Amino acid sequence: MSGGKRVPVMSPQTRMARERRTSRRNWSFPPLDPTEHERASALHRAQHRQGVVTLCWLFVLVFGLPLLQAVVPMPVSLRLAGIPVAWLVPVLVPLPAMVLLAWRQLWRAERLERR
Amino acid sequence: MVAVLAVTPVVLLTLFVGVRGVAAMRTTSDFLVASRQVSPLLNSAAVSGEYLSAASFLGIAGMMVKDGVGALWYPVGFTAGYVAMLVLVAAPMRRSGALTVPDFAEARLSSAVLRKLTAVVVLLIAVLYLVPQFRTAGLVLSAVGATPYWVGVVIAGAVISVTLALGGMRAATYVQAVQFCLKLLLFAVPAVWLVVFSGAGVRQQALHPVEFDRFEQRTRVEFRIGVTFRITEPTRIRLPEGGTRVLRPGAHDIRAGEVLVFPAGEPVPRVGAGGLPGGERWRLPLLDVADAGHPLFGTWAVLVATMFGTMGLPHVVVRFHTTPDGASARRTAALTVGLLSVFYLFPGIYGALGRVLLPRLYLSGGTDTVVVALPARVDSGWVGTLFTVLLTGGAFAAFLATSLGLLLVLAGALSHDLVPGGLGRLRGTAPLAAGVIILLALSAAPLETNILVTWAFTLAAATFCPLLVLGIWWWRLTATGAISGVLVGLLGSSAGIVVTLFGPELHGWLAILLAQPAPWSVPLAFGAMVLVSLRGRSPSWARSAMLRLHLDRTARTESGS
Repeated sequence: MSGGKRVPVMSPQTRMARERRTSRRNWSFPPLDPTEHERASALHRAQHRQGVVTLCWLFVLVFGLPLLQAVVPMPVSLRLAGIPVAWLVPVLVPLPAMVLLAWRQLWRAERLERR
Repeated sequence: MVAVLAVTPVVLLTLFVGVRGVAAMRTTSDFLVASRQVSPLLNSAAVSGEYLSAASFLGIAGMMVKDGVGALWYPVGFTAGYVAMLVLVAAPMRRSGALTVPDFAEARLSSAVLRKLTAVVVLLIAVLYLVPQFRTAGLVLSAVGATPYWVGVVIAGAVISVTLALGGMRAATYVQAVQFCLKLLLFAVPAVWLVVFSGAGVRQQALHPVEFDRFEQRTRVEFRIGVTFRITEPTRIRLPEGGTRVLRPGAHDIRAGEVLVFPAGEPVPRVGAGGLPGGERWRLPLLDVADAGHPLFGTWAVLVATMFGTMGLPHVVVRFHTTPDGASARRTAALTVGLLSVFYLFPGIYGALGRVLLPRLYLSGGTDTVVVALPARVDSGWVGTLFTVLLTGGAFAAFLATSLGLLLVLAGALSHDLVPGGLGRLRGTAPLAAGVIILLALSAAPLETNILVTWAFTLAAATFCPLLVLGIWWWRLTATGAISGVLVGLLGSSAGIVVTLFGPELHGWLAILLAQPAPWSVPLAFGAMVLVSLRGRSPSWARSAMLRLHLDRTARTESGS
């Protein structure tokens, strides 16, 4: 057992709801010092650029697939293991693609912060 | 009986894990320290556990039976929301130290008016999201336990209040994470069982749909909620008390509780303006919103609402706070995309089988119960009952996790932001709010779950999404700009949905733009925020208030807030 002060244990939601009652927290933070300011500006720019790239891919994927299905309707006779390919497209294409996209974004965002 | 068997273990497990979680945490002096050691994987399971509501567990399969294969785009929008959250919101939001959107608004723009306004929006979103959860719980319990609709709603409300009162949410992370595993297991295993044991004939029919335009066999339809259907040719029906009646062509209002028996060979009445299950339009993998005849635009509209809405759902934003820092909030979001993707592989199976085995649900307006009603159609023995119990338990876990989170958010917004009061009032608010939601859900029986959930998502998309995105990435955002944008988004989206619900019947583009306002209300809210902000002047500290959210580490804040 660690010594320290004993504190009631509760979920973040409960803690939030209880704390907010007492502490009208003043949000005025101390200003950033020059090196912090410089790093934060650089990170903001870099993450912004990286985020736009990922969002473009996401929009192309999410809005492009329905467009593709509307412009080039796949015949019901086109089947994979008996299942119409047109039905598989909304499940088996965007979900794995988004998992990959999320991992790529995560990796790149973390690389930007390692610099 | 089935209902009791299904609900009790889930509630007990929730309470047990909650209490055990608290016990496990007592060894450290502070829950916060413990929660900082929560790994992103456990945390993303908790986020997914909270996010997978009755709408995901039951709603998508139900919509697929009614509206067709296009319903499979909903999960795509839900999951895409987390990718957008990963890119735009997760890490900076965590670094801000704000727990809710009103907190964030005050931290970033220091405006008390904006705080109150966002609290009102939190309240609206929570109510709109909770009512369909309660409604679905009522429908599901009435489907498996043959009880009236109100019994299920009241039981659901009581269980939520009791769980909350006993502190079931104390160790929220563990409860939610366990519930995610429970839901995934209780959703995936029955799906595989159904596919294997439904037989080759059913599988063949599921993959080669034919239009459900005539009853193939004598079909008994129980209307648990009131429905209006249209018939185009005289239709014979048998009354349960004996005798035959012929329904004339035209619209017929069926009251809740009525039972009609359709003999084999009779035409199937139409509900709403859409096509019949299995027809040409059903097979199209796009969503024809409001049956306006523009399936591509309808699909896009749903994707915009679900994707941008996910970013602003108040109960989801809270969950990111359990991570130690911005970087692990981002990891949590990335892992959540993976976990949700696994879960969303399965709703389509229930939808496809449900259309073959339970097309009558289309008629009775009970498509939301298709998931729990399927096992009994495949196996009438104890195995079928067992799987019904499992699925009902899973549905209840989905309902419980989401409702608990939402009810706490709602109580917090009410008792702190709007009417500041003591802890006593907060304690009292939760059951009171649950009571109000029960009353709303009782009168919401004939409303489609879909419309209310769309409303909640559209509201979040048109108010909180622009507020968070611009607040985090654009330092020139001013409090006045944010207030105007939130107001525009709130009024615009709500006007559209109110007209859809209570206004005259509309057709074509107008119908689709009012039923799914996101494609215009989201850009409008963004535009209002940017234009009004550009006309004003942002305070001198605005730039560093924004940049602080992007700073991954500082000497001073290393230990956190």
